[in-house]
Parts: sequence; C-alpha cells; structure tokens
Amino acid sequence: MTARLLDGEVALVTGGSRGLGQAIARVFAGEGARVAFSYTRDEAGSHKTLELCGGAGRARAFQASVLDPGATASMVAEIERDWGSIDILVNNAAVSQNMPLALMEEDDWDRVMDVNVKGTFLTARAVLRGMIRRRRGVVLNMGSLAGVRMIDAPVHYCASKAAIKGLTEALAKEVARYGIRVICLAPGLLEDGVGRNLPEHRLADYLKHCALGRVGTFDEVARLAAFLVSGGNGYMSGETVIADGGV
Amino acid sequence: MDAAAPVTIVIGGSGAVGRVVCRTLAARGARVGFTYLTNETVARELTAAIPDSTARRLDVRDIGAIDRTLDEFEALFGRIDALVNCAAIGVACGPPGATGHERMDHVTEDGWETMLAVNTKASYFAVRRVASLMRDRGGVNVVLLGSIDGVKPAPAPVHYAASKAALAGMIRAMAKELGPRGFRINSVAPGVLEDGLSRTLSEPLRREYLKHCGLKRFGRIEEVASLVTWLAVENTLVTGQTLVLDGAL
Repeated sequence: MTARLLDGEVALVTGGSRGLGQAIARVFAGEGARVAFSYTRDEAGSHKTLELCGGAGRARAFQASVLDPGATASMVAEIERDWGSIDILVNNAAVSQNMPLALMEEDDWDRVMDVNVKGTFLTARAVLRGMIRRRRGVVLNMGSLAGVRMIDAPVHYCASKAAIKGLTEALAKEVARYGIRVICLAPGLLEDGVGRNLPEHRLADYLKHCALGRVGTFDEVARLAAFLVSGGNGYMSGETVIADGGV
Repeated sequence: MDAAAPVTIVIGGSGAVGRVVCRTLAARGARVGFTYLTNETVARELTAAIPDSTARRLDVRDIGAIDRTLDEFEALFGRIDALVNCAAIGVACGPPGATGHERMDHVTEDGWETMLAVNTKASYFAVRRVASLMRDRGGVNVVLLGSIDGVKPAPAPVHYAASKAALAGMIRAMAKELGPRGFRINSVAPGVLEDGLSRTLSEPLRREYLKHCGLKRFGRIEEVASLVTWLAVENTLVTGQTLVLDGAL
C-alpha cells in the first residue's frame, strides 16, 4: 500500500460541518492528518464530520465564524497548543445566493464578500503567524469556476471567488520567502454544492458544456485537495487549479 | 502483477523527467510501458528495476512508429489507462546533443519543424492513437509535459515556447472532443528544474529565474513526477487544464 499523503500533518478546515468541507476533513483524516474544523451553527453536521474523521482523537470541531477574529484566534491557539502546529489551512467556508444584481441589496453583497473574502483574509492572517514562525505551511483557498471563467452565476459570488484567485497569487508571492505555499482550487458545479438551487435549465446548460457531462463530487475534489497540499506537490504555489470536468 | 493495476505508457521514459515518472508510477502500483530514443542503458536499468515493465525504442518524429508502438503496448498489456508524454527537445538546429539558447535569427525552417514535430505533433498523434485503441472503454488519463515557457512571459527560445504553448490549446480542445468518451487530458508545465532540459539554461537566465521565483529554488524532478503520477492514476475530474509548477514565479 502506498504511504498516506498527509501523515503527521495538522490541518484546519473552515466550514467543515457539511458539503465539501466535510469531505475534505474526512479525506485529510484518511490520509493521516489530524483535522480541526470550524463550523457556525450545524451541531449535527459537526458531529457527523467528527465521526467521519475517526473520532475525537483524530479530529476536533470548533464553533467559530470566519468573521469572528477573537474566536478564530482562540481556535488557532488551542490547536497549536494541543497539536503543536497548523501545517495546512483550507479556507473553505463560503456562502452564495442566487440573485440578479438589480435586486441585490447592499447587505446581500456584504454578506457574500464578507464570508468568502474577508473570512479568508482573517483566517489566513490568524494561521499564517504560526506558519511564518515555523517556516512551513500550505494554504489552500477554495475558489470557483465562477471566479475564473465567464459563466452565468450571481455577481457577488463571482466577484468574491475572483478575489480569492487574486488573494492567492499575491499571498503566494508574499509568503514564499518563508517556504509557505498558497494554492487556489476552483471546482465547477458539485453535487449538492452552492449550485444546488440552480434552476433546471441552467444545470442542463452546464452539463451540455461540460466535456465529462456531469457535476463533480465532493469526494473527488477533496482527494485533489489532499494531493495539492501534500509534500509531494512542494513546487506548486500561486496556482489556480480548475476541476470542472472540462467546461 | 495485479491485473487491476492501471496500465501507464510513458513516451520519453528514459529522459531526466521520464525516468522518474516511470519509477513514481510503478511505486504507485501502476504497470509501466515506456519508450526511449538514444538512452538504451537507462532503458535497460529501468526495465530491470520496475517489475513487469517494457521498453520500446521510438523516434517520435515517425508517426507510423508512434502508432505501431502504442498498438504493441495495448496488445501486450490489454489496455492503456494513462498516456504520459515526456519526450521533448529544447534545441532543434544544432547537431544531436547540442545545447544553448537558439535565438530567432538562428532557427532554420528545418529547426522550427523539428521542434514542433517532437514537442507538439507527436503528442497529437499519440493521443489520437490511444483514443482510437481505447475508443469505447473510457476512463483514460493523458498527461503532456508542457513548460512555463508556454504559459508565462519568459526569455525563452521562441520555437520552444511556441511548441509548448501549442499544447495548452491542444489539450483544451482534446478535452472537449474526447471528454464525452471519458478521456481526461491535462498538461503539467514546470518552471526551471534541477535537472533535464533546464540544465542547458545559461547562468544569467538561471539567476534571473531564481530572482523572480517566490520559493527561490529550482523545481525537483520528483515534484513534477508526483503531479504527473497523480493526474495519470488518481484524477477523475480535472481535464483540459495546464497545471503550472513554478514555485510562485
């Protein structure tokens, strides 16, 4: 059997109580990492993730919004105290909302940009301090096809994910000197992901233009994520990897 | 040997990158067939080191030979689950083994055609043959070795940059055409590496690269092989992509 990709690593995944974040936590734990994850409200989901990761010895759940720097700071401090480091950060927590721009309230815009972009900034800042001290780490930012290609998707969501690509590139340049890598992973539509409320005709249109003719699964994106943050991928940084089945 | 192990074919398997790709694929449990052109000693060492592996001599400028070689591999292994092309040249106008940066003024028409034949045309015909051999079986991964010179602005030999940039367009269109049949086509584009074609880069260009490379080091062949192997053996969703490995250049 091949060696596991993430043996000995400590990972923090934001938004880990369901969907892609839950799959990433599960796959990372299966690859040998100790996994901490944050969630905001979904207690049942967080229990499920803990169970999928192999229980409390291998995983820890923290109720902490990415927009709460105090809660994030104590989460980071607790992980570093108990597990020694955070080697991998996955900025996964994100929200979306299907809405035409003309009907978008300022609050709608702020909520999407805050969670998706500012949340990534605040969490990265909190975790990078330790990574810089240790001269070691990988940050994986979840982007989206909506941030790199011209597609029919909500404007605030597209803008927030395009921002993640730019943030990834600038941060990769800034922290490379400490040996820290920053990568953006941009999936297309996923089973039950943010596109789950997509009208039927938009889904059909997507599948028509997708070479593999299907949406992606959380599991296959999580397995790609595990490889991207693994030591074997040590020369990739600043890159946005698109996983969309060929749209 | 595990009959369920993926069958992977590496064109240019004896080169600096190719030989590490072959070994990494084997370590990941794949069965390996590979081609070589001049490096028979390395080819023999590889077949001795990798159980159940097979080597064939192949000049990729000969399209008929590409077809025959892939047919032989398919007959031998029963199928082809992944095709990796590592065969490439960086110099096309000098005598065999020549090195150096060929500037536009020095590139002859023959040199241009040789560069494109080896680095671009061979991939097209190799993928076409595998697509035909595996027509209705699907689930095939193709990985072509590109270069940062084909993706980002760099002081590169123009014919070389053109030959590698062509791959990016080629794989996108191939992904579209072959995707419905279950083929995934990707390219890995490395920056300057510790070994291989990068060795021939002039000292000033190497210094310039390190100045702009965020990680301040050259890439390791193993790091290229690791991504190539993941795409060849594990990938199920990524297609039409050129993945850059350049340490944040």
